[in-house]
Amino acid sequence: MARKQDVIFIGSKDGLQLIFNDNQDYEILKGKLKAHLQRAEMFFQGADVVLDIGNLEFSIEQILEIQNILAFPHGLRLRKVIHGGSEPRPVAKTVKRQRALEPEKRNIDYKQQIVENWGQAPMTPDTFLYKGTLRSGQRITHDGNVVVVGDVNPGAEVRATGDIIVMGTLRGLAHAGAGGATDVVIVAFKLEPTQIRIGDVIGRPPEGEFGTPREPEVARLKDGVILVEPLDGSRWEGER
Amino acid sequence: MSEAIVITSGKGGVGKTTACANLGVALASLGHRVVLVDADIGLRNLDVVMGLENRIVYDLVDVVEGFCRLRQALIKDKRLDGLFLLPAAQTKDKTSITPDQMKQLVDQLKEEHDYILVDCPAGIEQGFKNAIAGADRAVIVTTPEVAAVRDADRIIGLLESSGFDNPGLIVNRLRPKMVAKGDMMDIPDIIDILAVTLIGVVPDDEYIVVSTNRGEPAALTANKSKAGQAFMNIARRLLEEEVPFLDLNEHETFWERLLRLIKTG
Repeated sequence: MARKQDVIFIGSKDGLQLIFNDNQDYEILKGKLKAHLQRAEMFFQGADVVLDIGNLEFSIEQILEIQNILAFPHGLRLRKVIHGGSEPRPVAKTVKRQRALEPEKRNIDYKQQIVENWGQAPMTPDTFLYKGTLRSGQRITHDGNVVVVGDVNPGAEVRATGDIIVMGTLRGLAHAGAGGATDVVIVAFKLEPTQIRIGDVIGRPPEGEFGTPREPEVARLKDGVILVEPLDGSRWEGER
Repeated sequence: MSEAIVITSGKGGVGKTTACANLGVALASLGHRVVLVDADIGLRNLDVVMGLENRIVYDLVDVVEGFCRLRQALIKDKRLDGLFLLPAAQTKDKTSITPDQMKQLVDQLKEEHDYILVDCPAGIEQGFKNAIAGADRAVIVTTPEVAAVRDADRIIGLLESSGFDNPGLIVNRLRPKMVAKGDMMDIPDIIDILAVTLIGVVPDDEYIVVSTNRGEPAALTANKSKAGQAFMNIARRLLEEEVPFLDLNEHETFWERLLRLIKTG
């Protein structure tokens, strides 16, 4: 009988099933998976994957790593993880985020793009990329960082547990560190917000005319006060 | 004895929000404790007109859903003591609250304030039903246009069937010169159709555009504009004072008279 393969892909009605040899070490499996995907290249593009890890014990971080390997650059979506022959359990984080990204979802709720997964993920925050103008009444809520490639208009809201970067003009409300983190920043090409919040500190621009900012600025929390200053890469690194 | 007044119109863009902001400012400057409630959930504007947009932390829906206490959501005006704003939510819609919840909210506000002014959204659907729930009195805003008067008439009918008798009428954006030339409906025409009590006429005034954009209601500096004065007078009429109506006719200057004489001469 041939030696059991470490990494196998099997097609099934739910998409692809990925089976790991449960006598093998995580690092080796990871390497074999990468090699396997490289050989297969475009063949798997965009498929849903159910991961069977048999009797292996994976940490959430490890599962996320596998999820990332599958996702980039092959576009595979990890839908479920099967463990020890038990019932498949959904990877909550993945499934939720993907649902929010699905285009038809955007037509509901007055085109609000909402990603709600508060308190789900204890792992390193990851980034949600939004391309387009966020208009009044629209809101992004994300556990992680948010990058908006476009403007955030007055009446629109971006709430993130991590950092917020607006590659455009921030005129609405941005709340970074919505989970309580204080070492986060809000960056915008033009920072003229209605209000910004970092952690549980709320700041609003001073009354009166101050003209529009001419350069990208960064808002961060210092001694319990929100400070806004020109975005200077070296200083930003230094102070964090 | 506190009173809740809903400011409504049916048609959009006739000046409900402007009227609400100015009447709130006027009543507060006369020494009353006033709360402005923006019932236009999803299309809030009253905060912008009041210049308080950047102070919003909690809103009406947060209060109704129990995310915060009522007092936390009230924004104190930066100029007048005794004037507060309860802003609407922008990322929700009219179905986020029910008329019953609105009534409870208004009753709660009445405990500590003399006047609750509710800025009603345009339309006759749920937003309108929410806004009139809990109100004791209604003020209709219209402009001297057939369409606006038609909608005001519809609203008055709906208000009557909801138990509001004899709402007050504000005619906004009147242009006396056009009325004089017969190009605009005049006040008697409007009253003839609507058959309600006129409580004020506000002239079309460029100052309103400026003050609305700046977030400084015209009634704050009532002596600067006729519109500001008009709103001040309406507030006093709401308090049951007898106030004569403003003379809105712009009297001819010497040069205008001369020009007219030459033309007709």
